[in-house]
Amino acid sequence: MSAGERTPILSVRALTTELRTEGGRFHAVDSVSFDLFPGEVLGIVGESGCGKSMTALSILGLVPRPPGRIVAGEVRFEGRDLVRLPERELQRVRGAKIAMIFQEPMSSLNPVFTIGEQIAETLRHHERLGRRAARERAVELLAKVGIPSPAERLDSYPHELSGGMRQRVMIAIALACNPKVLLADEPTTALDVTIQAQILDLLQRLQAELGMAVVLITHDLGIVAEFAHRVLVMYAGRVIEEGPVEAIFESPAHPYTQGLLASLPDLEGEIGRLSAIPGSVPQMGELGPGCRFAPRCGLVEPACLAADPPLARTGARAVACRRADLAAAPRERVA
Amino acid sequence: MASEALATPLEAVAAPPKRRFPTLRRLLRHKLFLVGALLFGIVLTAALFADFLIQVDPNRISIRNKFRPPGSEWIFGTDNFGRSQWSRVVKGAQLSLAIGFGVVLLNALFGTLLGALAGYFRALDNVLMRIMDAFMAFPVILLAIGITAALGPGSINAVIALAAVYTPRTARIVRASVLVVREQAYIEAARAMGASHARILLRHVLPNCMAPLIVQLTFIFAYSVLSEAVLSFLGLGAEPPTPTWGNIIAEGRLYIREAPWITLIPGLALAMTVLGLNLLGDGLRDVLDPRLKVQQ
Repeated sequence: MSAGERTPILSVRALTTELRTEGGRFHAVDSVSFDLFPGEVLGIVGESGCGKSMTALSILGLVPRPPGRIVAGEVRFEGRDLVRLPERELQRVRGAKIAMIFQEPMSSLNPVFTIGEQIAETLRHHERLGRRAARERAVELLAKVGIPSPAERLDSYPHELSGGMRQRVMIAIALACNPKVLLADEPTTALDVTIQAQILDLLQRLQAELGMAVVLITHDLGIVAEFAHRVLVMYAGRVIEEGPVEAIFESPAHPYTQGLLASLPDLEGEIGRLSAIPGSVPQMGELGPGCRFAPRCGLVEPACLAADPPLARTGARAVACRRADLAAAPRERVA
Repeated sequence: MASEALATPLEAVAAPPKRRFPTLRRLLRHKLFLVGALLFGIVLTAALFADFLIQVDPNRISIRNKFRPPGSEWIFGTDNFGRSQWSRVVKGAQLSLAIGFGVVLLNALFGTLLGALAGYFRALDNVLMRIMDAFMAFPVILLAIGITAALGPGSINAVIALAAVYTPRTARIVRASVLVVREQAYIEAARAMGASHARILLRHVLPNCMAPLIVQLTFIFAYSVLSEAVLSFLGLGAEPPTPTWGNIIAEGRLYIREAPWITLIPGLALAMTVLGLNLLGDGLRDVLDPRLKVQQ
């Protein structure tokens, strides 16, 4: 399922979010653009601090300010620009039409209310359901996310549930109002591996069932390969590569994406040291005029340091690298 | 629990047996809390049932019976006008606790309001807290005396003065908790689900700030009972002949050599109330403090 001629449900255009720190200002999200189509799962991958989460927060206007501020760009959703929407209107979009789930299921639920109250709160707030109707819907939702004996669980407090169960509850809350778009920010990072698989299965099943579009933010390439239709690779606040998941995994064009894929452990090859990309993500303050990946890139040449390459589109794929050759030789190691 | 869910298939994880009121259970195992509850309970009972416990009007003068020591006829003895000390001290308990309660109520209301606004809306923080600091720069009693002097003596004015004096302390405590809670992931999650600022503050932030507030209010109760006694000792509280612990002690101090019970008994009542409330507060703090909860 790739970007056809269908109209996107969510269009992000040149979204730029500035963060002010003691070291100065920098763009945590730097002219990020992408389209999300109905029923599509878009993976956003990148190292910690590359702006993945900030992008999601910016879409919903949740960037903490100070220190953050959206300085440019637009987020088109249902004919409106969310960036310029007044806070009150935005509150009606959040949770009802675009929902979000977070990384920390252990602390994303309010400890002093039962999970039933928390699911019901969203329903009563957005859908103006009565107390009883909201409770009934909450039971259905808990059953839908695979929580056993949902009617009894409704009166449990968050501390009585395991991490996996809590993430299921978070998903139930997010899905309460049948959102059109789900922003999942590292939904499985904090969970045990077996629970991760269960949660991913659940998300995948619910996504297909409800036909939601999902933005899946993760640093786990395995999750992207399994779940996403299209991938956006981010580096230091910018999108550096975009394309259908199979194509990117088959023939990554950007040296950074190649490095990411090469650093995955190989199941068939010899056991040896994992390959790593040398260096680390640049400090946002110290960016030069050139390509942001240049200091760590093996293919760097003087021209790379002169100007940051724009994201160049070729069919369904796009890459921001002067030296990228989309018809590059297939990689030696296949992930 | 995470490992439990890992080891067993999800369906097999039955809901654990629910223990009702876990906080109450822990409180009942806390010995000092129970001692505090007993001490304060005695005073509270005396105050609540004052009208049943006293046979003699606290203001009935009987010169014939003046300076009677505590004994079988007069439980707590009589004062220089032959008034029943029992009636006066019990009636005084009623007033002391009523004033303490009034202060706590006003204090909770304004302290929470100011603290929550300062903690949640960062723009208000500096303005509000600097005003609070200015209040706190004065010694408690001095400020209370100043306010009652301006408003005139009387128990209502004493409540207003004490509430004004203690509100900055409560506001500080609430602000500190709000500052912690507002950064929690569940607040961000609530924002992401479309909750407004008012809703987040009332439904998500404040309920999570209750524990330190409750503890603080017990201490404020104790302090205000004590300060009220000081104010009425100085003639700034309820006006005589209305008996308060403070003015009984003030009148009795002239006869402390001949009739020490006149000052001693309300003094003991005061000590008992303050000790009881402090023990209650300590117990609540031990039980409600989340850092201690984890260890138990």
